[in-house]
Amino acid sequence: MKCDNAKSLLMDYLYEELDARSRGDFEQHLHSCTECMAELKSLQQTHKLFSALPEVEPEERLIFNASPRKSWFSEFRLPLPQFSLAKIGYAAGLAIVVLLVAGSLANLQIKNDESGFAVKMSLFPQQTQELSPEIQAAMLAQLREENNVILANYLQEEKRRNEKKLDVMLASYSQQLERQRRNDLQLIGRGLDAVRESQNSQLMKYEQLIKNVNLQQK
Amino acid sequence: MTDINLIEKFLDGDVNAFNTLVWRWQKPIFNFTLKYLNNVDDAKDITQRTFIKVHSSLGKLKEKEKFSSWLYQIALNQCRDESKRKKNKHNYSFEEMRENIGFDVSNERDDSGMAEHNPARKLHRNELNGVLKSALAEIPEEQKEIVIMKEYQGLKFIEIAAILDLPVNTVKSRMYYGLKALRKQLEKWNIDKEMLQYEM
Ligand SMILES: [Zn+2]
Repeated sequence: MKCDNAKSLLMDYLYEELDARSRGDFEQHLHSCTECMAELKSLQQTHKLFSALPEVEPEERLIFNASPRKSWFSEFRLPLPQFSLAKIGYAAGLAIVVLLVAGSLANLQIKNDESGFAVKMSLFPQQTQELSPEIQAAMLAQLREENNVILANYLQEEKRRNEKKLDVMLASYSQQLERQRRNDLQLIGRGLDAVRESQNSQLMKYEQLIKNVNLQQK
Repeated sequence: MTDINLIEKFLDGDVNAFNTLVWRWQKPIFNFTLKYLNNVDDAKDITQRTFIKVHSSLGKLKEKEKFSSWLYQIALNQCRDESKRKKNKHNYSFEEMRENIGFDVSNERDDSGMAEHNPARKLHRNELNGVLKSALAEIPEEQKEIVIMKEYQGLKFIEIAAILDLPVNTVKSRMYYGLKALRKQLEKWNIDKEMLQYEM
């Protein structure tokens, strides 16, 4: 084997992608060629060094809550079956992000981790521009309504799961609602005044929901 | 159950099959984007966007057995866009890199508070990781993406070639130059072998 041939096999050898025969030939060349040996050593060191960078565990788990090929409308008119979180156990400390994908128009995220419970909702602006404000308002109202179902189920599930944790969670959830209200108002922006009203009334419902859960618990 | 089974179930309307798929792939994709972008928040965001895209366009994927290549392609394109959008790429000097990862070799202080010049001290594990990540951020993108897929995703050269739609020899040659560039970057920062005998 010549140096040029050996060089073309360096990467395969380093990452163990050579078959037994080529590997034998390559190693034979290494023993007789200090140049290729030195080059391999140097590459091996770099490879070993960089391969030691650790793998990172994602802090949150993504969960989708909408089926494909259903329009946002049919999806949201249906009563939500069983909230999927109920079936899924999760490791302590691992947050869950629920992505409620409605025709990629709206993106609701429900997060639960050690720091508490968070709800975030955003509209994708490039999509919403094509829709009239009335339709947007109707969609948003519908989404909000369904969100209540999800939240109620979620809270019930959490309550059963961990009575003690719930108080803490609800406290931070209330804070989050306040933050959320402000965020949503900014997000929705111009041309959607009608939405704001329905939003506020929905938020009052959320708050009522929280109170109810609180009362039930006491 | 294979990815293909899960995809078919999902396309039949079973959202839990999709969640299983996400559960299976979230960690590799998150780690890929994290090493590419070197920022946890960006990586989270891009991972989420990748799976939303997968969710909405999985029905359009013709060859279901190519799912994993397709998934990496989506993640890669998002990373490239994000990286372009930020355009914060510049060459770190040794000083900036040190500041960036918060490690200090030239001004070690002993107990009496005296500054002590000790450039050859060993790097601690987390300092080393910071140095490696910074070095990775410095090499050309076309080499970096291959180094990440090879070193951290454990993909074969032929699989990387499929994801990037490149001849396999091009992939190997970029990997080779990528490793060389990484070594050069460390040398440029005067990080020599002695410092790299880190403490675990
Ligand atoms: Zn040789």
